[in-house]
Amino acid sequence: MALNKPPGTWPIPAGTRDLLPGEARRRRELEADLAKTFQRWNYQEVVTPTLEYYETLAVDLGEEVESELYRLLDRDGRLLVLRPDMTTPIARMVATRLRHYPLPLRLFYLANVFRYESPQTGRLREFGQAGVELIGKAGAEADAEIIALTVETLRVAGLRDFQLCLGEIQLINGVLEDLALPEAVVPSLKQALTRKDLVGLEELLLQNQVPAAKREMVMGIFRLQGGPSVLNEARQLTANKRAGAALDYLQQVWNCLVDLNVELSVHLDLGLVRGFEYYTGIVFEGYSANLGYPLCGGGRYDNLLGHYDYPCPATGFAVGLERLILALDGQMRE
Amino acid sequence: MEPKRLTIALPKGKLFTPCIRLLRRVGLPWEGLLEDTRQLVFDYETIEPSGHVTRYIVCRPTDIPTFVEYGAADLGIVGKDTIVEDNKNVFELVDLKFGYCRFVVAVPESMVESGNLPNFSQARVATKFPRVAEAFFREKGIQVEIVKLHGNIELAPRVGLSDVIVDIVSTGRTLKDNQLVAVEEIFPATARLIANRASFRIKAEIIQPLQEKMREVAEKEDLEADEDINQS
Repeated sequence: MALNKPPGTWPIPAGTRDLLPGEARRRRELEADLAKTFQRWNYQEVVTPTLEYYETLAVDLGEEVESELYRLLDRDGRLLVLRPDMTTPIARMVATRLRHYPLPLRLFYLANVFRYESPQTGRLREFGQAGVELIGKAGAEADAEIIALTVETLRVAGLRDFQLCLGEIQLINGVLEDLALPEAVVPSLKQALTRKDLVGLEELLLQNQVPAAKREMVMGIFRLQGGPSVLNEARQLTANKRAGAALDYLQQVWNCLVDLNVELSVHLDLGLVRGFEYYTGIVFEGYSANLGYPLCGGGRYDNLLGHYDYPCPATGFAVGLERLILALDGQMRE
Repeated sequence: MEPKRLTIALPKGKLFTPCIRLLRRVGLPWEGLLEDTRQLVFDYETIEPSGHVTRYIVCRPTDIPTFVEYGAADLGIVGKDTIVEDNKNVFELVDLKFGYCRFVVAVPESMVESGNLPNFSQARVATKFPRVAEAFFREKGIQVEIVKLHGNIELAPRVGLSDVIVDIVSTGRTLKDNQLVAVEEIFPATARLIANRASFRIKAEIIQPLQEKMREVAEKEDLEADEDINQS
């Protein structure tokens, strides 16, 4: 069939792309700048295989990412996946190969990851990520270090107009646990929050006979966005212990961000949830003025290494390289 | 510093007039929107109290989620029916309560006797909303063949194209006129305020108060009430 093709029309799979000489050079220069930044902050590079066993990797990905996995069979009939992110493979690597190394470990990577999404601008099926993992360190200082490094990364890349949004999964868990809903309902509530389907969320609360006052409380908290004053506003709305602890924690992280001089780039979004199931504490996403998608994201995942029998706290972030380049291009056009 | 611009995508068609009432009630500019021109982009130079200037894009309802997802518009107003069928990655902020309609499964009157769902196995289903229809029947464990049409779905059973239809109805009049009966309701839909993910954050200081106002107005007022919009 290929014989009849006009020259120059050999396709590549949807959601993949070539990098031509100028583009590839630019991408490598950006990667080199980011790698230098990570090294300056004392992070060391690691590399893991593109292919992993499904059963090894699919421990805590969440429904959405799980449904986007590229699966294939090796010749023994074992199920393999193309890695959908780097956090899980690095957790696997640390728990097996680095388990006797002194903690904390500061690791970074530059790698391509694979997700079977519907391809559109800035959303490829194979895309590059640069990111870091800070493993073996709990507490607000570690989280603030990661957030500050995210800000630094975007600045080094040359991005001017961007904003990180910061939330806390335990706040959401606390607020939802207060409603004493059947366990089966909670995932659908979280899913609505992940999509920021506030109408759907309210409908679900209504369907589950949550009284009006509680509904107002939940919706009120999840709609809060802004500076540290929203933490006090949220305290007025909930008496839940877990939620209160999460708000205190966010305040501590905020104080560290002020010390690190990056608080102007960060704003709180108390309804923020991310697609990956493994997050256990703070979560954040970064947005730029001229790109409709998050550029980067991260958060704390204290249980993931436990899945590999090496329980230890961890936090990290990744930035999408194609999206970062798109945002930089958009900025240049302005 | 130049003021930020807030771009809102508005749907042509039956949702358009209630949309304009909403804009007027929340204090956004709306002058000239109702004039019968072919203009599709409206720019207002007035700086609003929250410090932004406003642009409207007027387009087909089905394109609104796309404009918003890509960030060509920060906000959009569109029916839930379109949002569900389009499955785009946009934030859904406010139920604006107007433009009520329902997704239903309907069959010819002559079939109502055997109209319980399991009997539709292997039936042919005509619809403008293949995603909604597919999801509905799959969830019920009923295997059907979906036929995508672009309009006048009610015609399909009459000419033997399909046994069943999935469509949105508001009054039910069209069904009745075509000797069709709704046998199952899938879900109801109304107009929603949707937001681009990045705009929702980057322009939070504009969008946050605006969505509050829209929620209040939608709670309190009937934006479909038949009043002459040019008078007040």
